[in-house]
Amino acid sequence: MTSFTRRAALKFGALGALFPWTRALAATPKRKLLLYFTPHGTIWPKWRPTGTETSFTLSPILTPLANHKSKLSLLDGLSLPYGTSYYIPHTYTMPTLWTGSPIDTAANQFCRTDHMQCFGWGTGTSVDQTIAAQLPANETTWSSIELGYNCGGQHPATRMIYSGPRVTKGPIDDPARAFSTLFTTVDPNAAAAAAKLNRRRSVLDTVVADLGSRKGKMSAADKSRLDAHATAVRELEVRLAAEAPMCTYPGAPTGVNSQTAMDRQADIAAAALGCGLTRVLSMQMFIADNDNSLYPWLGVNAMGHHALSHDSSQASQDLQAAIYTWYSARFAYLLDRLAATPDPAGGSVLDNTLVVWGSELGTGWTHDIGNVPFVIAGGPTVVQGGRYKKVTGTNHRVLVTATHAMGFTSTMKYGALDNGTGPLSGVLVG
Amino acid sequence: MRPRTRALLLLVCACTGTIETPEPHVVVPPVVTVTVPAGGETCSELGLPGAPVPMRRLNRTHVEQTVHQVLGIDVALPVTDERLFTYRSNVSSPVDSQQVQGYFDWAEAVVKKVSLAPCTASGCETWLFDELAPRFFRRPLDPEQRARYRGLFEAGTAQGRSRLEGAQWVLEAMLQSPSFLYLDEPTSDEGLLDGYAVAARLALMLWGHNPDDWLLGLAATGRLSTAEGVRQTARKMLRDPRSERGLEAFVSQWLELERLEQVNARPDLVALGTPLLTAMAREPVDTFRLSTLQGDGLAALLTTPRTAAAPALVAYYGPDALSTVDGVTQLNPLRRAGLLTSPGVMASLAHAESTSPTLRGYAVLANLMCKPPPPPPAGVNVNLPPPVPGLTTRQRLERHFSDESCGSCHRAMDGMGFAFEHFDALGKWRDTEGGMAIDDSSSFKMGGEQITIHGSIELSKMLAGRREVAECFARQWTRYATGIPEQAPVACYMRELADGVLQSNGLERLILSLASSEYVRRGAAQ
Repeated sequence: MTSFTRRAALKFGALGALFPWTRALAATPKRKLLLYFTPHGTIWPKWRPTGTETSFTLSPILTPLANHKSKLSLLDGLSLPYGTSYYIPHTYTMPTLWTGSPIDTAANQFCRTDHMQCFGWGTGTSVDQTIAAQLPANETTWSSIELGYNCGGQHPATRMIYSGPRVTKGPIDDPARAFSTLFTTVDPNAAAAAAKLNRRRSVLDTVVADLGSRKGKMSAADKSRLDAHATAVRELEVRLAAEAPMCTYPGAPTGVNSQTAMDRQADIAAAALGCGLTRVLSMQMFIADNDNSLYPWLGVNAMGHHALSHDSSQASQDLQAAIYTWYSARFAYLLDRLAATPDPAGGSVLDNTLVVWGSELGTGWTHDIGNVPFVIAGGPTVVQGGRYKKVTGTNHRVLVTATHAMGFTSTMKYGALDNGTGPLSGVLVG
Repeated sequence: MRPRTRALLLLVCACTGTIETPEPHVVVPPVVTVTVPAGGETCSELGLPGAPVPMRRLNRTHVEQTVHQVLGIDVALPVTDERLFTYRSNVSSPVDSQQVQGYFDWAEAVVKKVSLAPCTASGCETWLFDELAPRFFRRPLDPEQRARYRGLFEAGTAQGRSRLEGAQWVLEAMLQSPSFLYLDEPTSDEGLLDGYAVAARLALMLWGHNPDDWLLGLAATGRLSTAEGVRQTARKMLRDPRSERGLEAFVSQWLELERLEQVNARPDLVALGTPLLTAMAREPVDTFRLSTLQGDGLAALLTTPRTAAAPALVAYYGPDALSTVDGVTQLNPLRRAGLLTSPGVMASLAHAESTSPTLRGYAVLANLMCKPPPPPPAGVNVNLPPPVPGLTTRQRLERHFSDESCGSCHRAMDGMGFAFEHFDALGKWRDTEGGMAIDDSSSFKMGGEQITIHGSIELSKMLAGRREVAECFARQWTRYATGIPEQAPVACYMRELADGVLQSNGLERLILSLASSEYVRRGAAQ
């Protein structure tokens, strides 16, 4: 099912509805960034391609990406430093993955009795949020969009996007809610739509004003939580008043279950980027810590992924490889959708997007973070594709590469733990 | 020893337990610095600080239950909670845009569903501002807020719109107002919470939702300004049917009974059917409440053969259920003893294809002793050895013990869990496993001594006499009740609370003592 928004129909008439991109063709393509997360690293022997940098055969795990091979840069050799004296696997690297900064070990907000350690949130800002904050204000309805599936309650091991130190942005981890949030249908009755907006504004103004009615003393931390709440309500008000996107988008997702949910989120992500709702998007599959999701369609019926990842036996490796191969297929589906979605400025969304796929670990059963798999994808003007690159360094090089892809080419370091400099060489075009 | 040193030592004796055990986000037990009160004074007489609770945002259950109580409807709230430790509590992170969207969508859905009948007549505004508002905001509207909501109501009824519509505007705002979602806890000059703030803490702790009119009335008339007033109030609240909700929140999180709802990998549980699963999850809660109201201590709770099981579950017990009078069932005391041997607890700590002595032992160590073993070391094979014809589950697991990196922890977990081997993966009594006799002898180290017992009855009795179990229980209830891990400075108070827990009436004594303590009645020092 395809929907056209009222505004698009009014503007272009029947012709515009059929060719909604005609007006925008002359515009300059706008770069987009998409971060993609799957948990617990990979199994290197089944991930690593064979051959040279430019002539190689995809590994079993990456085979689902064969159709996109020319758009991929596969990175083998980046570590994910955590920067604290003690290391809790998963938990301490989820906050560092996209921020390049360590978790707060001074705040005793969360504890792990089994490690006898307490900790707080991450201390950095994730690269997508730093970029989003520097893009022209009000250019898009959403400064960034976060999607996911089964991302759990709020905990440092379940959140990867930080809009500032210790402030996370959780994903909408239900495709139906993601759709209703991003693609609210426009009331064809203009007067009714205006009345509804009037009501919602009055209601939300009251909600924000109530923040001033608190009587108790508050700590600085409590105040900043309420400030963030007020900001989020204000942003909601702005979004509600925004004009509906001028584009086509898919209908509400159907048949959502754990096997299909990430694909339905990919549909929504591609549409959101194609509609110009945002230029910065992230997708998170499950959680970093103790992800015991089951994959019955792969034969993983008990124990779950995390338990399996502690296991180096051949039988367990085979099952895990099936999971990682399935992740590749989900990533491939996302690239399919991005490639099939027209960009408002011409070409496809994928043509103008840098997609980065990462994880919080390199290898499950050793909890190794010395080599964490990163896959970079993008169109021919964005990424030097068809590359399998042996690299050295840390995740920070990926983060700096992301800023360069988005036009911020003066950035040479990103995050408190960055000991290197500059973007990865030979990954971006130009 | 400093915590980091201890952690490293523990990791050296790491083990393979988490084939089955989740890595819980529970809190490090405070480093206990024993300060003996001088001259026979109690810890609390030495001056008890308020619990260091940051501004709490209601959790999902609190919000849904309050709407159920006030408006009589159920609408699921699409906003997740912080997994701070065993108990859901939102004290750390700010809400983000998708959560604000969640509250917004939910408020509109509630208003769409609710009957606003009082607003078809003239008492609409009184109903909104003097009845509903205090139930959501946990205190009366102050003049400024009343004017604000009156303004919203007038805007809603402007241009010929009905009172009904005005009420919808007001209700939508109240449901997502920070005055509803966050506790507001003003204190007196002495640092004590005002009556409304005390009422809110009591209601969330004991009822799992906001205060009702009666409780707000007590707050208004100063009845909650003394420890004795709070104690008497809490006693009444515990006897009110609504305490089922509060105690359910505690027991189900403490014993991780939500495992019975996460049945992805448990087709055997699914096959039991939802009504029976619900009854299994309900039984420990109802038994806990029954024990509390009938004057049990923790020792009785852990050993009693009396249970509050729904009829379907009584039938499920089969011959283990001896008689039932007025909803209270006597179980065969040679087979069943207290909470731990209930079918729900036993079935939740198992796999589809076998029991799990590891999970059962881990649950005792983590939930009753507050001493969970560390996660498995890197690189070990954590696959449960496949069922071997001719071997019992116990014999399969004992193979772990031969590998020292596994054995050091598995002897603690499995060694304790073997005591439950007479209960199959569905919590039913069994005499044999695959034709082989059950061996439920159990040997493990506790507090430095090697303990050997036979079966779950002896294990429960042993636990029921242990001081560390009482202290752990006091800590668990305190974590739940305050929404924050207890801190090291109140270790003395935790031990004092534990003193009476094992004795008769110990459960109620603990609940009332904590509720009326300065730890709860005081605001956190800023």
